Amino acid sequence: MATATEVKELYGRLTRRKVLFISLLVVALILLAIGATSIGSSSLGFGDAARVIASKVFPFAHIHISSVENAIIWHIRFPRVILALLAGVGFAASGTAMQGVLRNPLVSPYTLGLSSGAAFGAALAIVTGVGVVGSGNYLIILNAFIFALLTMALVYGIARIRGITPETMILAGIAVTYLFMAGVSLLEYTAGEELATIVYWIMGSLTAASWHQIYFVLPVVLICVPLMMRYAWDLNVMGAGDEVATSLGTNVKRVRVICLTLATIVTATIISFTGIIGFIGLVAPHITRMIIGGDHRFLLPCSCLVGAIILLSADTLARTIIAPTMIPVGIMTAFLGVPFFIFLLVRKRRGFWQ
Amino acid sequence: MCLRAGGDNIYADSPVEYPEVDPEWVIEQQPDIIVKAVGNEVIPSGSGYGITDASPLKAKRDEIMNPDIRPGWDTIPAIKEGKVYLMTTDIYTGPRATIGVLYMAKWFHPVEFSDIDPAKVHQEWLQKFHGIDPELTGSFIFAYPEFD
Repeated sequence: MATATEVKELYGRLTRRKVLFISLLVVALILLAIGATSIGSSSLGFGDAARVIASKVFPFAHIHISSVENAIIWHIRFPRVILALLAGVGFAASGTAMQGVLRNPLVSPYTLGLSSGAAFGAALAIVTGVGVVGSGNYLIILNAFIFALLTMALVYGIARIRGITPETMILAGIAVTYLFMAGVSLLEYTAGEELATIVYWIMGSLTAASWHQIYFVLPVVLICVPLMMRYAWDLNVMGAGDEVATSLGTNVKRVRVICLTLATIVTATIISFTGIIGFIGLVAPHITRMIIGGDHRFLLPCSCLVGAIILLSADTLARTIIAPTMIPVGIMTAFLGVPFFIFLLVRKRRGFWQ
Repeated sequence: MCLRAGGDNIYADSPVEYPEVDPEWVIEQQPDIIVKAVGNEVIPSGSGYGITDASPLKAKRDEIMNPDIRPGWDTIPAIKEGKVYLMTTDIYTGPRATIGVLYMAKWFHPVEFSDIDPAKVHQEWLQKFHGIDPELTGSFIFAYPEFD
């Protein structure tokens, strides 16, 4: 039997290792963000990027930048890097929270119907919105957002009839996903040239990134993600089952509803701007869980960092590999993340879930 | 089409037929003229025949030139000088692409092609090869703005 001090020491060692891992991720992410801002399909490099950003941070220094440099770095590349970071954080946090409250490793915004709802909303706007051109872009964004929220309300409503358990939520989510995907297929079938637009939207992309989008996404991520982190302890005890968690003083239903709502708002906001970028919400939590274990106090922030790293590196590769042609980012996230995921899955001795 | 009209395509060596390109690259290329092909995502019928109202085309053009929607594009000469042209599906694919080439040639080299009227050539084409009376075709818009 280990004594109390030995246990404490062991716990301290494990915690230090996790803190070290978080620090490493933060450093990696910062380096990656600097690298991503420094490369692109135009010839502007690190020096130019640094000058443009310095001129914005220190407006009094009178650093001279040309209007083209300003346009490329400040209006295109930098917002895209920031949006990739925010989207990565948002997707990963949502995925972790959803998997946590539903105790299921296969859950992601995709399986719960949210993505298909957003896709249906966007497709509806793309196909029927013809003629209202001009407001076209906003119509698609708003429609995707509203339908994503409606879908979650529908899934929640269906599950509620039978009692909100992980099983009812997931099954209702899958049913609703099929329903909306059928709706998307119907719209695609009847669409003419809008078909390409729908397909591009569903593939997801950060091409349209701009400061306007960041004004919407940043506050949502900054508010919702820390709120989810507040429930880390509850998520930990819920891992032992609803009965155990209830007996330990967690209001299981309340935590489940709050976390799912927060995750829905974050994901819906992001995908209504970027289109469906799947995979990160599913895999970032798993990768992190395999490396540092299932304690949500560390798992949630680490997943966020891992998600941001995957999405940012995928997007940077997507826009530079065969520049100036861009590969849809969803393709790159899978190419990049899947091999790493499989490597961890095969190497890991311990069970990969909890 | 661009090359045949005597233009210099910024992405003539693209490996993909309809590539999605990085906007920062377009900005660095600083194109003098932008030609946008439009189909039924802009005009309901997808064709320039029978339409009298150019407002959907104008809206699309304004969208391309709007720096809120395409940040940084306001540094491109084509946007600054308003040299953004739209042409409909009718004249950028199939045999009538020849008409599209004429429009482009006139946009690219207005002085050299000042004696060419693409709309008139189009009418002749319809009459000669399709046997369509120009009176029957009614109104149509195939290019917007036609010329400055």
